[in-house]
Amino acid sequence: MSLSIIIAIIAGILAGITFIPVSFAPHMDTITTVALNILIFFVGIDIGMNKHIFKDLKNHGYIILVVPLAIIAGSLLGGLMAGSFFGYNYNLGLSVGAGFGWYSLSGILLTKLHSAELGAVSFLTNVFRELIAVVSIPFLAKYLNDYSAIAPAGATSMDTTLPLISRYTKPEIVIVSFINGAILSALVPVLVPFLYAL
Amino acid sequence: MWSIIVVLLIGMFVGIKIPSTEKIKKNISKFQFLGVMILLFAMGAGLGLNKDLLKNLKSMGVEALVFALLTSFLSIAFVYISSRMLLKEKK
Repeated sequence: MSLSIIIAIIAGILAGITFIPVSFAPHMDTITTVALNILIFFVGIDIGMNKHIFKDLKNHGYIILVVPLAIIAGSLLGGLMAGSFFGYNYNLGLSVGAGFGWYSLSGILLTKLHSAELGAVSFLTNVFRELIAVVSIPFLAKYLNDYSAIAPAGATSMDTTLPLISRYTKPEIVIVSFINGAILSALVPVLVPFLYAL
Repeated sequence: MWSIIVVLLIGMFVGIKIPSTEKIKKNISKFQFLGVMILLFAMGAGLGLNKDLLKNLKSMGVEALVFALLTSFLSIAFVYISSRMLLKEKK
């Protein structure tokens, strides 16, 4: 399965570069949205079929809130370190890190706040982050633990990467993942401008 | 975001209603695999079709990759360490 993940995404990228006409791009967006909604529907069925899920969820306790906090800390520190490495001011590195994988929004925000260049860096950074998440989720769930699989996904853990997290972890982790994604998604439009203004 | 919550809730409702037999679970799993493949292919194609992205990749690809690797790696490390600590505390 993990190999098919990599093959599917690389095949898609190559098809997009080579033979899919550019005029088809808006339809690609529709296909993604429809596929995503069908998958989320099935993730819901998975959750509904597991009657013990909310009892199991209690066993996770504070971890539900600790996961997004740890991801925020890791993303901001990572952004700060990468930024200083390339000679960015600390506020710019932090605001790129605060995209949490939501490339479309963080790219637009930083284009408007600062420049097209920083917007492009943020956009690409978060595209890469989503790709890293897609590829690493099976390995993280297997070799570290289920919570770690949510970490690279960041804000996308409630939508695009949720079907993968659902496949490789337990149903109650899907709820943790969804809550994490909702918290981080709500924070992107707040934190990016806030950190930029520091 | 709201559409996802609505779709998830409808799915949960259906999941509670239908019997959870092994056969149904297996078929759902097969269908999900197919869906994930279509989603990933379409996501990849969307990136491949984005000509601005390909242009920026040449000039800013390395910077963005370092940003992505560091933020992902530190997020994974922090989540792993903190979840291990909390789980140990409970035992």
